[in-house]
Amino acid sequence: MAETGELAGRRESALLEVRGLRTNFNTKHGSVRAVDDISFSMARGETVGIVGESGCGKSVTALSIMRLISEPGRVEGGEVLFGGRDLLKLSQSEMRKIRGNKIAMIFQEPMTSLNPVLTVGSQISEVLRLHERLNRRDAAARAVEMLSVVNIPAPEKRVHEYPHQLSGGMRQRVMIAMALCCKPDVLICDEPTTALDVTIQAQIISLIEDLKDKTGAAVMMITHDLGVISGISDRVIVMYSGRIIEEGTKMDVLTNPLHPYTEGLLNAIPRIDLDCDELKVIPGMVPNPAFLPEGCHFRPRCADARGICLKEPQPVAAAGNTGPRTVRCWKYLPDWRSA
Amino acid sequence: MSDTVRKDSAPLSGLTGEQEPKFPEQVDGSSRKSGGFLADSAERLFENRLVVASAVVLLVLSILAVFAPLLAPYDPAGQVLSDSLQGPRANHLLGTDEMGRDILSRIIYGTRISLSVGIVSQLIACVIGVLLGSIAGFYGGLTDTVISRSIEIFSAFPELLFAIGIMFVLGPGVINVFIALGLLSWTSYARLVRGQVMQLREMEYTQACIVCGGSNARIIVRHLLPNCFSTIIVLVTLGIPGAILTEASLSYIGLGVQPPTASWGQMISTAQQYISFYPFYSIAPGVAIIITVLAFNIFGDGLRDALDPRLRV
Repeated sequence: MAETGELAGRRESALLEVRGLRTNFNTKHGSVRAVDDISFSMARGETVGIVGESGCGKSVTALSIMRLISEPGRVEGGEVLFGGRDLLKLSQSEMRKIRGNKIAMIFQEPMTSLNPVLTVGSQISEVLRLHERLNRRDAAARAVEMLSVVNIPAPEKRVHEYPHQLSGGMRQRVMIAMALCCKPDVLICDEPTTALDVTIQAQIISLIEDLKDKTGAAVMMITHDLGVISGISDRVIVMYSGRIIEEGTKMDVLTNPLHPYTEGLLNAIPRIDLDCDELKVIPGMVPNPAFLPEGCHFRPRCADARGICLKEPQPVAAAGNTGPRTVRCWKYLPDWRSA
Repeated sequence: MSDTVRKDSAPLSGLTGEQEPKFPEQVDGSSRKSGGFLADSAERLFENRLVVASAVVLLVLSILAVFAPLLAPYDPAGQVLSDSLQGPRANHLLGTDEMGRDILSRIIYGTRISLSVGIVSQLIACVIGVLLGSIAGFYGGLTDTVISRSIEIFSAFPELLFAIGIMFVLGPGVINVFIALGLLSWTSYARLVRGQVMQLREMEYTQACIVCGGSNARIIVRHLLPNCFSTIIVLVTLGIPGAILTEASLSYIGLGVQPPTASWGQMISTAQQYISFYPFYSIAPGVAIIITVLAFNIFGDGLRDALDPRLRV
């Protein structure tokens, strides 16, 4: 009862809601489904982590929401509801007003995400001038302010510098400043720390968390690093070959994984407090999206697989200790016992 | 799981408060160099002595062109028929031509034609080429096909023959030389810019700009073209000598600049009648062409090296 109430409450306050999103890529092997029927929602001030291996559709999901999928890819179906409108139906110019203004995005590679021939200050003020119609001087002043918000020392000097004069961590801070300067409602971070070393990673994560608290933005944190997830997220979505296989609060998913894949992922993390000679791995490889196995996509690698797994599993609500959760596995469906 | 996180967060505990000790390498890094891209390139450009010499030559040529009326000892069109075809003397340093006009003055005035033809025609070519090239490279598809095919058609013509054809249609005259040479050389700009834009379009910062809500025009003009800038500059400096030579050729066959306006090519053309007994008449403007073309070529080469980001240390 309490769970359904909370679920309903979240539905109402949902800032961004994705329903049944499908994105395909046309290849020589035919149409490849990179994102298959993804549905989730994000509330104001919430951090949602999306975890999964390379190629599982995390980034494609983010790019589909931003309408950045280009040929040969295509969003085939679904809705992305934001502020009462379906983003997938907006015109290009309406979409431009939302990008960078209402929904901002940070990329994985800070080294190449900034234009090498423009100063960092001019790149931040460009966003401000575009969306807030600030004049040159006000925008430049705000750019300095934003650099100090993201903890860059001597911001009034740094605004005049070029990207090659900054380190990777500093550039990622500039990217965050660019993303947050118009106070977006949603911030999508596509592996923001993957290219950084561990200490800088933690700084960037705590900075994003800190700024999220200040601005009340919802953050979508895409990562393959469960350490990042445990550091930031309220809720975790686990993806495997284009589908959401498990969703729940961070505590539930990380301490009590339901799906065999999530369990395998967590077991694969080396632990400093346990002695072991060999690291645990999940056997097998991620399936090629052009030739997906029948039924559950994880079936060929799953130790628990039974005959019923050849059929498509449907998401099922499960009991969580700290919030509602769903899992997409036959193990939690009534048919399992008879299978 | 939680252990790895705790391990990471330990050295960070101080960073929420203190900011200073966080980036030691960056703080002193700022004193390393603050010149930026252009200052850096200029420094490397003038390290090469040959480039400095060519820059000086180009400067002198520009001064000659701009201040020709002040620097030329005689009126370039002033005829003194009694003094015709005289070799170099004290009052005519490079001698006189068949009409008794001072050759030095005509060469000085000819600088104006050569430089303006070189620069203006390349600017025309540059505008057409950059516009079409960036559109083709950015949008791709049918647009690209149409533009690429026209590039191929235009560059399939033999260069001088094409120029002669255009001049035949337009008629002789300096302005028409600008147009003909512009139409002749836009393809190399278009081809180069198209390739670069295609490559830059896939860069992450282009995507970052789209994510920030930038329109296509803004992305091309503000983000992609500045990245092609160094290539375009080099192409202009290397294109100028070619244009100067083609102008000289056109004037030589009588389709370029018309007399009495002084042009180096046209001077050589006239001088060939007298080459057996007065070779100096044709050598003087020829040397002027060689010096100018050589200076532009050396300067362009130096510029290319200086602006090449791979050579930056």
